[in-house]
Amino acid sequence: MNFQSTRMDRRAFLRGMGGAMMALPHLDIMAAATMSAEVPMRMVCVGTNFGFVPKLFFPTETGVNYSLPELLQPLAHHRDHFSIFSQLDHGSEAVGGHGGVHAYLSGILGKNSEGYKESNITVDQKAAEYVETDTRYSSMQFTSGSSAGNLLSWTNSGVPIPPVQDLRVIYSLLFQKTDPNELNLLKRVHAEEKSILDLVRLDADRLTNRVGKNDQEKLDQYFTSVRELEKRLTQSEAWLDKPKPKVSYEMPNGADDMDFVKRVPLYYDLIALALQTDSTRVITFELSDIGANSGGFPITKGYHQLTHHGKVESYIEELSIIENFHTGQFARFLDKLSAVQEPNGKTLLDNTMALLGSGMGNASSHSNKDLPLLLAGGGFNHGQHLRYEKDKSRGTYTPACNLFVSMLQRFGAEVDQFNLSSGTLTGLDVV
Amino acid sequence: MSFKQMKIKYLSILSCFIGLSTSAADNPHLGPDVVPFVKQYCLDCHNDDKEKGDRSFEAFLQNPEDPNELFTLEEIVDLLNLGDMPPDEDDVLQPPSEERHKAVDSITEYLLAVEENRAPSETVLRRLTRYEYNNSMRDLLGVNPDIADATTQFPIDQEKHGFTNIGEAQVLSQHQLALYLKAARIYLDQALVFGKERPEKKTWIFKPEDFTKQTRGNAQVKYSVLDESGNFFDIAHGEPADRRTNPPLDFVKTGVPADGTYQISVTAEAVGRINPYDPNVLQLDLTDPIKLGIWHATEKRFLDKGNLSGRKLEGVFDLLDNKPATFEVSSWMSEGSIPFINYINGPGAAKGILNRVINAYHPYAKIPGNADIDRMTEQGIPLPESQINPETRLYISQFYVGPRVRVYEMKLEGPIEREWPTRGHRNIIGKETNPSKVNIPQMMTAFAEKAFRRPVKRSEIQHYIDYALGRIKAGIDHEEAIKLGLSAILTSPRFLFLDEGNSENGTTLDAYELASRLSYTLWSSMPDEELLKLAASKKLTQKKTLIQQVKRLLNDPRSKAFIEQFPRAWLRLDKIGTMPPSNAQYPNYYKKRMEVAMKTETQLFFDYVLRENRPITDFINGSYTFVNGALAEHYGLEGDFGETFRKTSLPASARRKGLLGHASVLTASANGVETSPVVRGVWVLENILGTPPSPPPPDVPPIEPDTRGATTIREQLAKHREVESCRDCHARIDPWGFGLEHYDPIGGFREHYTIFSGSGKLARQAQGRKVDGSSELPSGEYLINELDLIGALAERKELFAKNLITKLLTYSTGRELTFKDKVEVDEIVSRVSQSGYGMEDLLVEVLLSSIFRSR
Repeated sequence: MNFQSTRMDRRAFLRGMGGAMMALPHLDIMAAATMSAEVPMRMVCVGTNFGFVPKLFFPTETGVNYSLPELLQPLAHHRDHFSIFSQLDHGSEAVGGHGGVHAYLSGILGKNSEGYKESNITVDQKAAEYVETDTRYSSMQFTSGSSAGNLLSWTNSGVPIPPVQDLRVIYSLLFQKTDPNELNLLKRVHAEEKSILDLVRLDADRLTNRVGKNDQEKLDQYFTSVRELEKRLTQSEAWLDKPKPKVSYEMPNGADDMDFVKRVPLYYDLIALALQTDSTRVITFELSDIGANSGGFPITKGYHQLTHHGKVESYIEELSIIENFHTGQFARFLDKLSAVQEPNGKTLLDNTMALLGSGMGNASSHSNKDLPLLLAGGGFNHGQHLRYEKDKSRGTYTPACNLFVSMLQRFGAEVDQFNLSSGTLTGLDVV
Repeated sequence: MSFKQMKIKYLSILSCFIGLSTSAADNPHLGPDVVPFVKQYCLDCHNDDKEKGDRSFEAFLQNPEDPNELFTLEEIVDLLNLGDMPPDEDDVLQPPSEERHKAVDSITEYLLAVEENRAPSETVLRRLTRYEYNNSMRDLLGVNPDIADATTQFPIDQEKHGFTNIGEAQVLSQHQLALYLKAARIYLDQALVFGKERPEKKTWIFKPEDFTKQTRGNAQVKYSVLDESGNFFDIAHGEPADRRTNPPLDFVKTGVPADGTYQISVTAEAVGRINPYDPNVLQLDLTDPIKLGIWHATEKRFLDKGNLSGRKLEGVFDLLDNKPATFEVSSWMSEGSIPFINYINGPGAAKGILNRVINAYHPYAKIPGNADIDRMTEQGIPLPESQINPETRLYISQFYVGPRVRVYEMKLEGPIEREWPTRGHRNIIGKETNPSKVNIPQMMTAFAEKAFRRPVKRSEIQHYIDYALGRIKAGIDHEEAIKLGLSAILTSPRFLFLDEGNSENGTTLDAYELASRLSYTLWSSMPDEELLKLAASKKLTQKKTLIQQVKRLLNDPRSKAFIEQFPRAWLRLDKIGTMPPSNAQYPNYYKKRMEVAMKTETQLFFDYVLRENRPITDFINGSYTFVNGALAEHYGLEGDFGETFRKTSLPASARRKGLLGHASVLTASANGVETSPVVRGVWVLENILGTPPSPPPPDVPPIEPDTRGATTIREQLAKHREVESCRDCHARIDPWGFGLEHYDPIGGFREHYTIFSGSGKLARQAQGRKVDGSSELPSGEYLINELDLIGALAERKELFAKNLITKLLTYSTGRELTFKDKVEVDEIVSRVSQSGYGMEDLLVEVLLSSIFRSR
């Protein structure tokens, strides 16, 4: 896929993705944004389980001339491409130590989601609503090793989406050509699954008359699941006939058995490729378990244990090896994105909002306040450290969801609030 | 939060009130002191005119029990608890502490009561948990989910207070639905054997040369050396999670040819456990026998390092020193599985131990590394003879007399099943293996009855039958059509959900609903034929029959599910493994496979108390438990235990009793790094006494523990005693946890804290401060240590009984209890106390209760 292209090539590229893409309805919304109407905006959210040591992550000075603290050093050459925020969090809504980490991208705890109209929907899933059938996958969720407490993506019915860990599986989802023989089989499987959904829906209809009032909500979940699964099957059926993009990238042998430190770059490679080939525009990437062999890090204790450093210097040193890896890999990811030229004359980084952060503010004290949040790309005016005021006695703080409102608007969603936001994020402007 | 946010929140609370039909008599009331308190100390600033901090309480004061005002009360109590309001300023009236306390108590009580009242008083439609789904598949289709699990991609079940089967808390997504569909198909493919012949029983004899061709061993990670005679081979490396496994090499390509039960026998002995080497050189604990692990891997890739999920440990055996013996295991295996063995309590990689032995005892067997050779060449040092002339080279394997597993032979035999078709196929189809000869309508109706757990008229499932027959008409082959039809039935809500009807038709469960509730409680699986027959004849609802069936189900091997799952939910054992300790600090946790052992101990203990109808106070202060060698060592108990678990008494010197002495409970209530009296205190309140504390106010800054040893946890928690607003709650929590400070994060007893420092070769352990396990309860009782703590809990046995009964009712009904259930729970407590608090009696009372038998 050559993006250094003339108009001719670009059209050919779009044809290759399945000509129907020439008509991209959602781009009408995009036209309102100050962006060229040809290339869509993407969103990638990366979440770690244990956050970062605050004194190593947050700069002391604010504004544009702040000096980079240790963990931001790997991102030095991207200084003008990202903004770092401090003193943002979800207030008392997402408190719970490890139990509050999963509220990173929503600001609402799973157990409290019932009362909200869209449950504890996360910003990526909200964005995915605006993508519809334009890409093969409306969103994707990856992990290098999941933890139940750090599931990043939650739907509007309060359900966490299980992320995919196997690199082989991710690669095949994106690029594996379907054998033409298998194709017919797959189509038949889809058709049968849809028939089965019709059958079970009838049972659910009958069950509705049998059960009590309070049970209705559970059956509604069943009906919704049936409906959504049908829709998903129909959508992916349409994509069955469209060939997957061709890439020259090859997964190394035994990739899934490699240590964490060797696998993480591969996930980022696939994320960049997925965006580049427009296979999807919304991705979350969960970084939790570092797996066996200490993840391949030269450390002598477990990751969780190191976060309980209790201020012991040697622990913090080892912990910063892992945390430097996180920011270093994110920098490498930004390298990849900024090396891709897109048809609107901007780089893939300009056309992608890449968020690095966590639902854990300070793992040593289990605080979910003052979350680490770093936003790169997306065509914003970057290069600054923005600190937001808090007043405990008045209970005022700036909700982190304000950042998400700004991101959603940039993505093309016509929203002016998201979960418990109070507006857009002041100080974060589009170029 | 802003007004907008508050509106969203109260709307959410309001929405919960719609549709709830509670009579006025059941509604909780706000204590009469609250309104005057707010008027006197808050209204001056927080009125409609001034609206300090954007808040006015005038609306609240007009209608204090209005559901819309609940968030106001929450805010008020939070800020009172924090001590932030009324603000510490001149000319602001401060309430005297007694009044403040009373107001906080009144508001807290009211909010708790409102919340309890909101919980539905009936079980909300429950979906099968992943575990229940697998067990149901096992019983319905005859498959083996614990070995070949089709549900590994299922999302984790939502738990509420440890319970995963609370209908109200469960969610269902389209992802889950798609996975149900796929899992059903996978299990059906496994269960049905259309067109297949019974696999012939085969025998494989694996000789030593089938495992390794190496006749010379170096200081390698994997040391697996064939004796020159060919009669045996030695394994010197090994640990529970082996990086290098020992399968028969050629067999790896194919594995076993068919699904079925296979017997594996291994003839082996221990050599070199008694040896002349200095223990400081070996650095391996050789007081335990050398142990052989017999395993199988479900796929080739699970034999590689790092890939552990597909490995199944079938047995661990103590090898006899210098005396070969044969050890046998038997297990169901799926096609392609590969058996393998390991030296399960070995030194890990053999490289380290062998290098140390070479350097200390057999330097002539040292083989210079490439770097050494380069250096010698550069410096003109003559290379050793062995380097120039490889035939003269000496290998450590020629001299080593250290610990090894010596294996003579492995025999593999199977499938040993004689019957054909398989049990699962016969359950569903019968003897017919030609799919076109199956009477589909009849077969599907019978299947649906079993799957839906009640009689089914053909008309009810006509649409499934039509579907299957329609596929055949469209040209799909019979086998495929049958599988499609059956997987549809297995995706129906009538299978996936436990249909317990509608309370408008009466609150008592009908016989079929009762049968399912009973079997899912005691077996986590579907009712069997006998239960369904009794349901058909309505006998099941009679007290005598019900008692009989409870006993029958408890005696059935399927009751293993209850022994595993109920204690797991009750005692929060689901937390074990989520925050495992450091390998460097607690190596035995991994070396001696303590995670599995500690869970087994608690299961065996619970099982014993139940089956022997022991008084439930044994759970608190029983002076016995069940241990294997690893746990006996951990607890400092005398005796020879080995791999087998045995009941053992706990002498006073063991300093542990009952469940609070179990490593499982102590690990689940710590975080692998440190312990906390608050966390363990909360555990005691929630799981023993049943009086959980309210959550902390939202803005309390969490403490950052100081593990440099400079302060003890008691000193750090000083604020809990010094700050008034903290003291109220923590005076009720902390005292129940200080006694447990005598147990480290994995339950080992300690008189002193341990300070870990340094790492790798410089790792050190030093003795820290003395543990002070004393505390004072709010009642004034002074507890010196953990034994006093247990004594105080044993005195509160009525509270404990009430809690245990409540947990059992929650587990068996799939809902949380409410105010309405109080009366009956108290009655059960009273009956149980009169009959001596026997556990089996208590369980029977619970299952005879009208709470259990009602929707």
